[in-house]
Formats: sequence, C-alpha cells, structure tokens
Amino acid sequence: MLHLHAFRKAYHQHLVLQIDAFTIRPGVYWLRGRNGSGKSSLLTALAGITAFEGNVHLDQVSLRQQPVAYRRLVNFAEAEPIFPPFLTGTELIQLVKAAKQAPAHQEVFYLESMGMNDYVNQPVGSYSSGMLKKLSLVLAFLGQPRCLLLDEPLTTLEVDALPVLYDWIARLSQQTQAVVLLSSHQPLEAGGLLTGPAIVVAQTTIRFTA
Amino acid sequence: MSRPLTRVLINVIAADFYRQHTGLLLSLFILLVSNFFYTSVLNQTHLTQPQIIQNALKLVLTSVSEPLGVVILVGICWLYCHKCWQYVTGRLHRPDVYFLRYTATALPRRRQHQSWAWVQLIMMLPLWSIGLFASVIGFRFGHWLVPTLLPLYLSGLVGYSGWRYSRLLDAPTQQPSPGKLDRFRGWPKPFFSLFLYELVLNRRLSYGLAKLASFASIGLAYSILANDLTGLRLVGLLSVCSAVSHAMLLYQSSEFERFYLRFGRNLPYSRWQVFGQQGAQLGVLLLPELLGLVGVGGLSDGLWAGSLLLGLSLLFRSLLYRLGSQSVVYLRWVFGLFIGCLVGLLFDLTVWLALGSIVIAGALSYYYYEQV
Repeated sequence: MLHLHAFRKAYHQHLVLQIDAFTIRPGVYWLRGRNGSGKSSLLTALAGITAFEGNVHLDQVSLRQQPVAYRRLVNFAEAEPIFPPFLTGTELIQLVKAAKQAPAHQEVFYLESMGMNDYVNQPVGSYSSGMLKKLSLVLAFLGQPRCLLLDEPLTTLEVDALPVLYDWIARLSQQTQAVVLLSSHQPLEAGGLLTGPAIVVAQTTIRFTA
Repeated sequence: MSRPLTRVLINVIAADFYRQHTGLLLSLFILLVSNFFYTSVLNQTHLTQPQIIQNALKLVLTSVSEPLGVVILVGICWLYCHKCWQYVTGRLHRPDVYFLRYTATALPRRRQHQSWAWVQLIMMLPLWSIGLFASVIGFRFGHWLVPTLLPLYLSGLVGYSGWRYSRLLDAPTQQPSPGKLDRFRGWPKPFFSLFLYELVLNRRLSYGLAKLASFASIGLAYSILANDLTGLRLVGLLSVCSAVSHAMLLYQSSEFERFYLRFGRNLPYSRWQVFGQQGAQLGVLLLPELLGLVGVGGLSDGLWAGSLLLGLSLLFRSLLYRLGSQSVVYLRWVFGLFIGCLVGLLFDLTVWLALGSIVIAGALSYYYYEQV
C-alpha cells in the first residue's frame, strides 16, 4: 500500500501538487492528466528522484526515514530515459541488478520476451528511442519491486512489444501484490490489466475517478 | 542577428558555451588582464612615463611585431577556435538540439551560414577583445602589417567556422564509433567510475587542461616557496592549488550526474554510500597528485596534505548539491574557500583544514543530496 501524507511539490514558487493524504492499494492504476498537470513530477517524487515536502510510505517503509529500503522496493522508468552513451545495455543491467539486489539471471526472461538479446551488448549510444525505452522498462522490473512507477511506458514502443509489457505488469501485480502506476495519455488497450479506478492528476491534486 | 535562427542558436549554443567554459574563460581573462593587456613592472622610478607605458605593453607589442609573438597569438586564436569547433560538434549530437537538424536545415545555406557565423562571432568575443586591443596598440606604436591582418584573420575564422557548422548540421548523423566505445568493454564500471569513463572517452581536453593547471600550479608554488615554506604548510599549499585546478572538472562531474545519471537517484544507495562514491571517484581522479604529495612531503605530511586535497575537492563537489548549475556562484565559493585555505595555511592549520573540509563536505552531502 502506498500512502502519501502532507505531500507538496513545487518548483521555486510554482505549486505543482498538494496532497493532504492519499492511499493507493495494491493493483494496477492508470495515472491520467493533461500535459503539465504534474504526472511526471508525482512519479519522480514517489521514486525518490526529486525533492518534495511531506512523506511517502510504501507499506511500513518511509521514504524519509528509510530511503535505502524504500528505493529498493520502488522502481521507476522515465518517460524519456537517458543513460551514459558509452555503457552497454548489459552493463546497465548489471549495475541496477547489483544495487537492487536482484536474483541471478532475472533479466534473461525480460530480454528474451522483449527480443533484446541482439543488441543488449551494444553501447546505448547506438540505441534508437524505442530500444532505450525497452531497456529502461527492463531495468524497472529488476529486483523485487513492491511499487512500480512507469512514466509514459507506451510511447516509442513498437506494437508487438505492448502485449509483452502488459504481461510483465500483470505477472508482477499478481505475484507480489505490487502497486503499479502507469501514466499515459492514451487509453490502455489491455482492459483486464487495470485493477482499480484511474487516478486523475488535476488542479494541483490527485483523486480517483468515480 | 534579429533572425529567429540566429536568436535560437545564440541562446542554445553560444550561451551554453560560456556556461560550460566559465572556469577556462575566467582563468584566461585573469591571465590576460594581469599580463597581456598591461604588465606591471616593479622598480621603474628611474623611467619616464612613456617608457613605463611601453614596458607595460611589451607583451602585446611583441605579439604584433616579433615573429614568435605573432605565431603564439595566432596559435592561441586557432586553439580557441578548435575548442569552439569541438564544443559545437559535441553539442549538436545532444538530443535537445536535434530539432535543428530538421528545422534550421530547411533555410537557404547562405542564411544558415550567416546565423552560425554570428554564433561563432559571439563565442569568439574574448579573442576579438584581445585582437582589437593588439591592433590598436600596434597601430599606435607604428606597426602596420600584423595589426591590419589580425582582424582579417579573426574574420576568416568566423566565416570558416560558420561554414563548418552549417555543413556539420546538414551532414547525416554519425553513430558513435564502435572502436572508441569498445575500448573499455568488459571493464568493471561501478557507479562511481562512470564519470571517469566519460572523462577518458569524451572530455579529454577538459581533463588535460585541469591536469596541466594542477601540475603547473604545483610546480610554480613549489619552485617559488620551497625555500620559505617547509613541511606540512608547503604540501598543504600544493594541495589547495591542485584542488582549485580541478574545480571545473568537479562542476562537469555534477552536470554529468544531473543529466546522465538521473536514474541513479532511484537506486538504493545511502547518503554515506553516495559520499563514499564521491570519495572513490576523486581518489582515482587525483591519484597522481596524491602520490606526488606523498613523494614531496613524506608519508606523514603527504597523507595530511592528501586528506586536504581530497577533503577540499569533496567540499567543492558537495557545494554543487546546494548550488546546482550556477557556475558563477560556484566559482565565487571556490575562490572564497581558496583564500580561506591560504589564510589557514599561514597559521599552520593544515590538519584542521583537512579535517574540517571532510566534515563539512560530509555534512553538506548528507543534508543536500536528498534536497535536490
């Protein structure tokens, strides 16, 4: 369960989000909102990447008091991933696996199902945006996340890759009772994937749709 | 200059050039102001005012009258332009300026060339100030050939650079050379080492300049003060000089982390681990200087001086968590800390400076890392 308490995110003096209290139970949720409404700001703050006021708990683990344990449980994939161009996909995977204490060979399933074995040993500087996106998604599934935050996971992804991604999300959600937040401007085609109401980001706050 | 493409290019390319090279340009400016434009010479009371002025302008006059001086001045201009070309080539491969490849290239080649020439003209403003000053002084003292040719040479560089950049933008993008990237394939790449690989692969010039400045300042301080200062104070001074020489490299490390290692902030590293990673990165980066300090000062003094070098560098790096991309403010802090350290060394406080800088760096890193 993900709980936001007295959450406030602002850029300089510009308030982006203010959430007094909000609880998200395990399940897969579609995070909706207009451009600039604060979806990415919310996700990067929940991932522990950008600063905010207030606190966030995943189950009993606090981002403020136990940042290392929290980050081990919360994984994130950026909308437009950027990595050092000289690193290969494999090197990035090993780096994230070591940090997130992922089981041995965990990446094999993800690389095979997404058809990435042909280029994962190449430097990411030679990747297309779609290949980079796939790599960032693989990195987000490494370890044993109890919360998965995917910012615009569908953009730049080829059509054949969508069912694969939906399958990964469904497996994670069923096996670990994780909280999965997917931000997207397009309606998610996999109807059975979403287990809860959509979460709307608007007017500097968030709410569940009726 | 009022054309939309020119405005965009100046904002995106020229302004960023000055942001990225603040340290280099500041050093160049200080060097020039103190020497090239007007060299103060002591004990000239026996000379007349015109003779004093002529002495003070000797360096600039040499650069427009003596063959060696002319070669050096022309060479500096060429090297500066080379740096500009290298910077623009790298900048045009960054994703945030890709839009130029399918927008600016639709304009007539002549318009593109003009816009890029403006950009180069602005990036070369320091050279223009030197060149025009040299020409005016040259004419005033009766030299005609070089002062006449110098502005033409600079104009030629502007024109050629404009042509070069417009061609560069028009050329199909090249994939990174596999040979270049393959060189370190299979080498271990822990998180702290990523900026070191970046230095070796893509920022060799910055690295070379920082090392040159570091060794030059150490050599200069040692040759001048070895007889007056001894022991810990001497090696402490060398440490401070070396740390300041690496200040812009540390700024680049911070920018690299901000841009390419954003994903790392989601990795479960504790604040102390992050601080330790900084220490490990700087330990490798400063290894030649650390060994040199032990060599000059002996084991005990060398280790304290090495601690001061590491501590001060860590302090500079930690400051950037608080200051972000404000390079000018950062350099003011570096300068202030440099002066503070010099005063501390005068009072033989090397050990306290070493311990203090490490403690303050740790505290800054601990507090501000989560605040970014």
